[in-house]
Amino acid sequence: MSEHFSTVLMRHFSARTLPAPEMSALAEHLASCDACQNQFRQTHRARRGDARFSFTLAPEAWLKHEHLQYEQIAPYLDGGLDGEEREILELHLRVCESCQEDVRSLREFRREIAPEMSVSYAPTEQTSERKVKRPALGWLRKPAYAAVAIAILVTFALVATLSLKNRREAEQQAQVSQPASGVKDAGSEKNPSVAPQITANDNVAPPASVAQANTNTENMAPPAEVKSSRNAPTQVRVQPPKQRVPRTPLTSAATVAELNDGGQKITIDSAGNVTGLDRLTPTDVKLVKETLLAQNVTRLLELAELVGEHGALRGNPVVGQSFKLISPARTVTADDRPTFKWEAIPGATSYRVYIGDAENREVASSGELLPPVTEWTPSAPLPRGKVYAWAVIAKINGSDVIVPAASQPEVKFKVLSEETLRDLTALQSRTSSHLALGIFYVRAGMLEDAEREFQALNKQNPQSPVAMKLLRSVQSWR
Amino acid sequence: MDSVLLPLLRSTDEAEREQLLSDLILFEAAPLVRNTLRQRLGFYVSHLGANPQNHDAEDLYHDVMAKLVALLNDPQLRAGRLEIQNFRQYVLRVATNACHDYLRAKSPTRNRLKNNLRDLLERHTDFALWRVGDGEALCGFTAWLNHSKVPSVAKRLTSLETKPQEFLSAKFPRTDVRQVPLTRLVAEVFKWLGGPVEFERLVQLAAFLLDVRDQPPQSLDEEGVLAESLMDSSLRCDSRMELRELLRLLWSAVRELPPKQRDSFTLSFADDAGDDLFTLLLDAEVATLTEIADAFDHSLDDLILLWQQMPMDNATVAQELNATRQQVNKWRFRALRQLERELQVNSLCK
Repeated sequence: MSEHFSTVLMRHFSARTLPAPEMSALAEHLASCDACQNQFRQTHRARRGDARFSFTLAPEAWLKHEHLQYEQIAPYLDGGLDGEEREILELHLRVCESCQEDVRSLREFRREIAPEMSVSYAPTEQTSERKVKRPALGWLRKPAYAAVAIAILVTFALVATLSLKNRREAEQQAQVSQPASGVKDAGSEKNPSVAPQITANDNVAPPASVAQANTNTENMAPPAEVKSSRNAPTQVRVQPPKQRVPRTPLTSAATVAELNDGGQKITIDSAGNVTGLDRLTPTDVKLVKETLLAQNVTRLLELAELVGEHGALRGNPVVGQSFKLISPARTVTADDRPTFKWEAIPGATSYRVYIGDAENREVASSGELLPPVTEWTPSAPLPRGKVYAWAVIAKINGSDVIVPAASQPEVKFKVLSEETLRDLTALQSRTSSHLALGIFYVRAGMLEDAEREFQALNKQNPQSPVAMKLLRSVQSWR
Repeated sequence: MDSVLLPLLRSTDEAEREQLLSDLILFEAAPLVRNTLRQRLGFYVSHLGANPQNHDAEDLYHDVMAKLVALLNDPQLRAGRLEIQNFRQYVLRVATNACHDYLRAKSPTRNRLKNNLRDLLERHTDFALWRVGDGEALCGFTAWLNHSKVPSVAKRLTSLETKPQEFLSAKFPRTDVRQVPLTRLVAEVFKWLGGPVEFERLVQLAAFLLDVRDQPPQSLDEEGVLAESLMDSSLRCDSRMELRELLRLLWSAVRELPPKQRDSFTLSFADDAGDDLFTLLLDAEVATLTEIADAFDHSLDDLILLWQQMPMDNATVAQELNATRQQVNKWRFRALRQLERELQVNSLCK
């Protein structure tokens, strides 16, 4: 293109409203034409008016409109974000009152609802109160149940007819002086006095007609009049005239999950029946059951308090060298004398470890530790049930490098309370189930231990999506 | 009357009138509207009025433009019975009011209720939230996990929405339902319905039962406080010389960034007047588009396509870079830290 831009064309080019190929051709011309470059500037400045040039590199300004979603707020409160994610989120919070309110609101809601979290609201029976209020024969409107009812009535009528017939024949026979010897009435083997009846009782199998009719009842709500346990398939039973046979559910519940676990096989079906956890308490079984049904493990509220904030143990902003505190970090530890580990930093001539409580009071310190030592265990136990923050000061060329630095969050942990430790010891004495222990550890906030258990579970069940999901959940919080 | 409107108002030729109207909208109003939406709401629309990642932004932009077109076509304006002293101010007011209306409709209180409900369903062991085949989110008791919707539940739900009194008097007689823990309310709703319900419908129902209403939105003028606090960190130039030097330094530092950080920063950069980085580099004669294309390792055609969408919002940048919004945030955050370090030594601008 050799011709210069017209005024109209330049206005469109400047406003970027032309098709891309045309824009490209003009851009190539512009790159080598001083006159058109000058025209571009004039057009642009005319549009821009007297606006002074200014911009900001402050991240909070760039993040001003990056409003938070639940997917960010929940892990933020749980302590599930990494350091950089948390910093970015907090920068936005600094400048967004609406999101501040969102976070405050969810935190407050969790605090208010905390006592409710341990209250069970699950229906004790599958039939809701509303269903019970239905008209007595309302369920008969459903074709499958109607078929069952008809089959039962037909069976009843047949048996009653046979019974009546037998009775009459017996009466007639009794009236005959010499009955034919060796001849047995086939019907006499039946017990005419036992009439079939509908019952919700267990331990009996339905007659074929009922079972067949019921094959169409899957996925339908149970009739209000038939007793059923929570989640269990409805069991309509017909009492047979004679023999009682082992129970067979009419609608068999599908297996939801099956896991090899420490030498045991744990199974759960869609009705919530669990096997393989015989030695656990009902509460523990319930937790396992809920975890398997939900295919998810419940996170612990307490993790939120292990999220680092500004604290007295933080050093100067990161300038030059730094290193990392390895463990314990954002976890709950069963050991009241945990071993503190950190990365070595080149040139360090000594390290000192400081542990502070929630009120930023020093509760323990290591004294001078000489490299290559990069771990330390306090000599006295830390009081249980409390949250602590810790820091390490490395001496390099006579200067102190304090980690975490001022721009980094505190590194916190909690020592397991006496009560929870007792529960854990009791559970460990009853079972070696990785699943049950893993769930306990998650609920106690012991994420490292939980990850170890779920890793073991995953190893024993490499094809199991549930085992993989549980492991990934825990890993995502660390 | 603002002199910028006079040619349009005086024109008697229909074709010329249309051209003048189009120019007014395209070159005078559109940049102001785009910048207002970006600054007030973080909404980005391209120069062609598009943002496939944010339909709200597109709708809002086109609503404002439609209002402006209607105004410029108003016979009262032509007859001089309507007076506009400052067209730019008028456009800014229409765009700002549209942002107010949008925020008013956003309903933050309802959104917080939604967060609370989701949190409850995800964390309470008796409740569950799951997605079915079409991606719809359903919720209910854990025992119902992965079950599909049942028509009878939809009927009961409609009945509950239209006649909540039956439910309330049966479940919460002589109790203000707003005083009841959300856990219990949710459990009673599930029991009443007897099967899984769409999560959005549960939110709607809970908002209705709890009489959740929004307060009037915060005045957008209050954002001035933030703007003021951020002014301190802005780099400003009063002379063309300073501007050129600052942009030269910025461009040099940007090119040194790792590609993802460079792109995350550049694609969404806008100065306070709403101009993108490429436009500023062209204007200051720091780089031509062909040089920029070389630096970004793009063809000129591809670069033009990007330029036409700049400045981009986060979602669009994420799509361009085939990444998540969080990743883009991280890359840009690192880029900003690096550029701050690089440019803070420069004392030309302040």
